[in-house]
Amino acid sequence: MTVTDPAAGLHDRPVRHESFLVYARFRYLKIACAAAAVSLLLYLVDSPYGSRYGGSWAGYTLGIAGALLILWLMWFGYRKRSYLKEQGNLVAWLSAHVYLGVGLLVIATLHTGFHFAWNIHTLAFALMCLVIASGGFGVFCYVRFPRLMTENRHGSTMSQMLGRIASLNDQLRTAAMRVDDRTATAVERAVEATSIGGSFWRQLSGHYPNCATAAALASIAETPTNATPELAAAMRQLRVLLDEKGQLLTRTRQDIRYKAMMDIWLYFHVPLSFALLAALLAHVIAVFCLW
Amino acid sequence: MQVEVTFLTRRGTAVIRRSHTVTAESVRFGRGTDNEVPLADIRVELAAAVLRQRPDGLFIERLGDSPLYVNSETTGATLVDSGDEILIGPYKIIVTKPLEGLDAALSVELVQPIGDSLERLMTGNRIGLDQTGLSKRRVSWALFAILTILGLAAPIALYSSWDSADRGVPGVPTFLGIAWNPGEISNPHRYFAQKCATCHQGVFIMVKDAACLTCHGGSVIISHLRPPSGETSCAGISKRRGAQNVTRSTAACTVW
Repeated sequence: MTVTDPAAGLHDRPVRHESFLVYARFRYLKIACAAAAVSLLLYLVDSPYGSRYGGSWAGYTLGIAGALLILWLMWFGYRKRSYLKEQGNLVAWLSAHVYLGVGLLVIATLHTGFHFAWNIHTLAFALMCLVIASGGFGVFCYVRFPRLMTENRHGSTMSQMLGRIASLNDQLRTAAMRVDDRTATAVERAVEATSIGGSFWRQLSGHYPNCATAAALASIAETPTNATPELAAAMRQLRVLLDEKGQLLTRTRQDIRYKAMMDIWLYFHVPLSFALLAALLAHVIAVFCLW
Repeated sequence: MQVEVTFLTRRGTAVIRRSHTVTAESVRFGRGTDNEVPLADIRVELAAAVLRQRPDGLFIERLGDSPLYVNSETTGATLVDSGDEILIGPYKIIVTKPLEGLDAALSVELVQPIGDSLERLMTGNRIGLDQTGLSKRRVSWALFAILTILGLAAPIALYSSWDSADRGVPGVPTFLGIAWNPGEISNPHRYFAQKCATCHQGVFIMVKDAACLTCHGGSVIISHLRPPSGETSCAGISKRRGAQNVTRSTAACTVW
C-alpha cells in the first residue's frame, strides 16, 4: 500500500492569484528585455552601405523577428478562447503577450532604422504603435478598474443590483397608486424610463442628464400642505424608495462605466491589429516585390 | 343605473370571469379605490372616465388628461352601445348586451400588463458595449479589407499595368509612390525614380548588378564607399582612385 502526500500536488498549481504583470517573477519582462537588448546589439553591430535600414542583414533579421512576433501576439486572440490544457497557462500567455508586445516596439523601431515616410511601411509601423498603445491602456484598465468595481458594488453583483432596481420599481408602482395623478405620472415615468447603460458614449461617460428617477424625486421633494395623512405617508414612502433607487442607479451606472472602460480598448486593439496584419502583409510584399 | 361589470383574467388559454353588479348614478373608471370600476394600474388616472345613462343611451366622458379611446378613436365624450370597445390606459372595456333589468353590461380586461419588472429592465436597456451594435469583428474585417485593397491589391494592379501608367496616366505613379515607396532615393537616381523597372527588372527578384551597369559603364565594377572619417565629400576617394567617377549619395560615395 502506498501513501501519497496530499501536499505534493499543490506545488504544481498556484496557491493564490498571481497577476499577469508579475507572473513567474517577471519571466516575460526579462525575456522581452533580453530580446530588446539583442535587437539593439544587432542594430549597432550592423554597418550597411548608407544609413542603417530594414534591408540590411540586421534589418531583415529584426523584420522577420518582428513579423513573426506580431503573428504570435495575434494568436493570443485565438488562444484565450481555447481551453485546452496542453496550450499552457493563460496567465502566462497574457504575461508574455503584454511584455513581448512592448518588446516588439523596440524590435520594429530598430528594424525601421528610423526611416519614416508617407507609405505603407510607415503605416504598418504606426498601426503597430497604436495597437501597442491601446494594449497599454488595456493593461492600465485591468489594473485599475476591477478594484474600483469591487468597491462600488458593495459586495453585490450586477444581477443583484438590477434585481433590486426591478423590485424597487414594483414597490414604487404600488406606492404610487395612492397619490395624485401628477405624482403618479412622475413615478410611472421614473419606473418606465429607468435608464441604465444605453449608447456607446452614455456607457463610457456614465452621465445621465435626464434621469427620470432624479426628476421624480425632485418633483415630490415636498408634500403639499393640504395633504391628508395617508397621502403624506405615501409621498414619504415614495421619496424613500426613489432615493434608494437613485443611489442604486448611480452605483449601477458607475459599474457599467467601469466595465465599458475595461472593454473599450479592445474596440481599438482588435480592429487595429487586423489593420496591422493587412499593412504588414502589404509591407512585406511591397518590399520583396521591388527587392 | 345598474351595470354588470365582469373582469376577465387570462391564464394561458383559460379565461377567468369575475362579475358583480354596480348600482350608482354613474359609473366611474379610474385608479382610485373610490371608483365604481377600479382599474388597479399606475398607468390609469385616479379618475379617468365616467359612464352615464342618458335618455339617448349610454354616454362615456373623459375625466382626466389621459386619452380615452372608443372604437380606436380618441374622444372626450361620446355615446356607446353594445359591441363598442373602450380603451382606458392598459384596460380594454367592451360594452355588451345587458341582462334584463340591467342598464348596461361591461367586460373589463387588462390587455397590456406591465409584465416582469426585471425582464423589462433588461430588455429596455442596453447594458454592455456589445449591446450598442458596434462590432469589433465587423470593424476588424472592414479595416483589414480596406488596407488590403488600398495597400496591396491596388498597387499590384497598378504595377501590373505599369507600362501604360508610365506612358502618362496622371496620378498613378504618385499613388504607387505613396503606397509602396520604400523611402528616399539618392539624388543621382531621383530623376528616374518613378520608372521602377529601370532597376527592378522583375517582381520578387533582387536588383542585379547588370541593372546598374546599364548606366554605370559596362563592365566596370561598382563600389559603394563611405567617405573616410573626417571627410564630408567624396573628393578624397576620387583623388585616390585616379580617373574613376565618384558621386555622392545620401551617405556614401558611388565609384565607377
